Amino acid sequence: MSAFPILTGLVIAPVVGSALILGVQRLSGPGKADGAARWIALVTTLVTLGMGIQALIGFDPSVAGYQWVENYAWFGTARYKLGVDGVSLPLLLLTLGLMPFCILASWKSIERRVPEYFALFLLLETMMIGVFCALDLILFYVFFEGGLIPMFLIIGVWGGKNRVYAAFKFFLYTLLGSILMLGAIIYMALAAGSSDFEVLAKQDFAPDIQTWLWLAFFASFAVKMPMFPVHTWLPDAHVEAPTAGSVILAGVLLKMGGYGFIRFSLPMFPDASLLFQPLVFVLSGIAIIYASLVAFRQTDIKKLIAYSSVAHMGFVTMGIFAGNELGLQGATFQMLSHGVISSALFLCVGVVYDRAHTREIAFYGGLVHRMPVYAAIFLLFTLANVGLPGTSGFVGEIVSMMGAFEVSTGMAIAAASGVILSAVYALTLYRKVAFGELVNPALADIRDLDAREWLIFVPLVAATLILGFYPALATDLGEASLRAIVASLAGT
Amino acid sequence: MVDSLRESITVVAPELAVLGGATIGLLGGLFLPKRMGSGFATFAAVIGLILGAALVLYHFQGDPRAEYSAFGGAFRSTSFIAFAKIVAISCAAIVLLMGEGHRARFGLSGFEFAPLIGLASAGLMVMLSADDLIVLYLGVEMLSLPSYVLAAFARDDRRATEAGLKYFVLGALASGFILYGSSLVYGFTGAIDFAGIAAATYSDIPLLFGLVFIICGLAFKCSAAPFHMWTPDVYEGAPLPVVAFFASAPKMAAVAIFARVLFEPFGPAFSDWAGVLQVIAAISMVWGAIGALTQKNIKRLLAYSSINNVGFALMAIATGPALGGQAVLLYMGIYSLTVVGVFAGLAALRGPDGAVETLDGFKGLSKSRPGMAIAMTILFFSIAGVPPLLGFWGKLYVFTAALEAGYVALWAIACVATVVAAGYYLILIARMWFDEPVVEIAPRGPATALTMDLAAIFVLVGLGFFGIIESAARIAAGQ
Repeated sequence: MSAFPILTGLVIAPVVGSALILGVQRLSGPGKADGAARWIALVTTLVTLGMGIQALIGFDPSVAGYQWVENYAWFGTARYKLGVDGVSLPLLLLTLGLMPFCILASWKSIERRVPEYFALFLLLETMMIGVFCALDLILFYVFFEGGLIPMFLIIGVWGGKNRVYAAFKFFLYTLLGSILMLGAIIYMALAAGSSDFEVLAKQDFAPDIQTWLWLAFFASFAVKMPMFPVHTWLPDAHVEAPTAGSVILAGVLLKMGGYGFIRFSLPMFPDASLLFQPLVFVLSGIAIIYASLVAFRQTDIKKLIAYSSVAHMGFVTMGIFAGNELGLQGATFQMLSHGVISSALFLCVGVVYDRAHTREIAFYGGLVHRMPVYAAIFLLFTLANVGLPGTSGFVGEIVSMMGAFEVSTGMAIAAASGVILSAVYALTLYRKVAFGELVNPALADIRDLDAREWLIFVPLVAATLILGFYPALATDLGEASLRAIVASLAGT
Repeated sequence: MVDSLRESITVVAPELAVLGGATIGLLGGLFLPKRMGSGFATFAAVIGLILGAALVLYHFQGDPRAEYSAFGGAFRSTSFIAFAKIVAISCAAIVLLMGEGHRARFGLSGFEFAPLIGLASAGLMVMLSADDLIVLYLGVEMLSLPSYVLAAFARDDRRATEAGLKYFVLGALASGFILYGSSLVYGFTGAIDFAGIAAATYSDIPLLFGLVFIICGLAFKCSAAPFHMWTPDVYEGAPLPVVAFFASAPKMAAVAIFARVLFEPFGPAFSDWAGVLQVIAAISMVWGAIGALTQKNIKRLLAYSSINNVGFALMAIATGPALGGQAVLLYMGIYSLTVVGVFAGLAALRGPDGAVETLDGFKGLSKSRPGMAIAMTILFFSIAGVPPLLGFWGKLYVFTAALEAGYVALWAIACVATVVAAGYYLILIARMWFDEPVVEIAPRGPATALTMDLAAIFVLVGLGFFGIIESAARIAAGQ
């Protein structure tokens, strides 16, 4: 294809932006580089988004294999190999697309140490892009783990009251999971003599070995996802992180788990995936129902949305391990749609938090009187989160449930009851925040959306509706790749 | 193998250069006026070290797999040894350079500091190159004696005196272990040269007694648990630049000679010592991780961190030469250079009452000294083994060696130790970034700060040139 190594460009561009910001700060002295940092960050994310769109234009969705491949020897058995296929490209675009919104959302709400914040955010972007582009296990691990450093600092420095605890919990939980995966990666690289995805996907590991490798990968991805019972870091991290941090956590970092399952667990350990299917189903079912019930009892808006994320990720794991084309398609679509919707919900919380500086549900009420536009947008995303037909949330849930239904009726029933429960907690939240009389005097002169916030929400509303009415836009991209994965599963 | 005196001298030329630099520095310090003496001594010692490193490189530039032998097989030089030597004496040279100009702060104003480090470096080179038990013992003592003096160098400081005394008493005991073990080995094999011992049979239980004594002595020298007790006290008491030296150069050398003694003379007894090493490695990793958690003093914390890291290196040794040789060189090489950077950073920090020694001194460093905080953060994340920093690659190779050897249990212990250890590096980073400043941090010493920055850049861009280090270590390990 094109001679320009676009994926390397994607990986490097944010690092360059980050270095620029730090350089500007060094030259202009503390406190004076804030404006420049914001603009450099915004331009960088827009440039990367542009490159991502270019990669999309040059992408041929009818081919199952990897495209835009760059492949160089690195050291030992590791290779510097990048590429995208129909599974990773949508997630890559989701990452690139969300980043400018994160920058915009942090425009005013970050007041301390602005240049450092944006520099770290861009570093985080590099790591996330790398995760979805890497085609070598060692390289993948580098990006997968490397993201912890900026995220740890973002939560810890710019987070809420309990930020230190949340940052440590996030880092150590994830590290413990990933280090087990590192063991599995080393084992596989030793056994196959290569850490290249394409080589490893063809490697047949003996069933008992597969079991162990699957468990090691599961440890890492289940924490990232997060699945019940290792989900407890998520509400803490979500609540304490600044708005943009929550958006990236919910929108992208959680997807790394699902991506990992689709990329590694299914094609490389098909026997073990079938063996552990009941386990995953049980955990997904618990996640959907239990997390929904817990969400209902929350008094903190962000925590409620965090638990709702856990529940929605339950649909994703269920769809993935249904192991059929419908399930996988539903799961990937659900990831994409949840990336948009939950990000939008966190941004909605950010809007009122910036004004009132609290996330207590009880503090709010009657916002619809003062902020009609905001209330309408919040309602749309609440309903999308519930899975209203016409929004992208509906498509993801229904398709993954159909996939699961083919395999296990019980699973599908549990998931369907989760849909009802999600309506219970989401609508309750909306009623308490938006409806009723505006009694709290602190809210008397709260303002509706300003131009910057309009700019943030309009594209997200559009994305939710477009994906809801015409899901083929996204599913067509991944169809060939998913079909290949299902074929490899059936072959065992 | 035919070696005339002249050829032997050529082989030991690097050691002679380092020794010469130290001696000339010592003489200069004695006879030059006081004002010039100290600077001259450092200059001479550094030149000696650099010359030594250059000569080592020169020996192996044509054929990296060359092997040199001198003095009738008592002294030997291979690329494995050369790798360890170059890392160790580079660390020594960096420690000398960064300390220059503000040594007085740490009670190190005497000119003898640099020559002593030079002498210790010459000692560790001899130790690394030992090819029989006598030269091994000589090397160990040549390294240890200047080290004891260095630990107590700030003689007005009671803690330094205590550190020196403690180091000396326990160090002498460990040397005694090595000597006693050596005599047992000689008694049962009739050989003192490594090749001769390797050729002897291994059915003798008493011979294994000798091996165990040697292992205990060497484990003490590289501060592996359960022979680590001296480390936190010596680190806490000794002046900072001295600790920077202890934590890097001698540690690299001690681990490398540990590997050589086990791989070469006792290579045939692999099945006998592998288990012992696994146990020592496991205890070191775990105890180094847990012990550090409650420390309030940064130097004590780094002492436990070094115990933990040596545990990882010993895990690589326990897998044998074919699997672990490259890993141990890589791991210790990266660790030594990183830790010099950490200590350089510490030396640059100065609170209102002297050097920053408690963890609380780090509070809010990202505000008062943002550049330093960034560099320190990078270094700590690297030691914690987080990719894409260089420290991760060391861990990767050690883990690979352990899994290839099938030490799954040991690997699992290493995983837990990694996570726990990451916890306390995170505590340090959290102090720097999450808290408000409490102590005023004085302007940084230029040389130390530069050292730290360079180390940070080294581990940060390590991703790029890791291939070079990796292949150097692979060749050095004879693969």
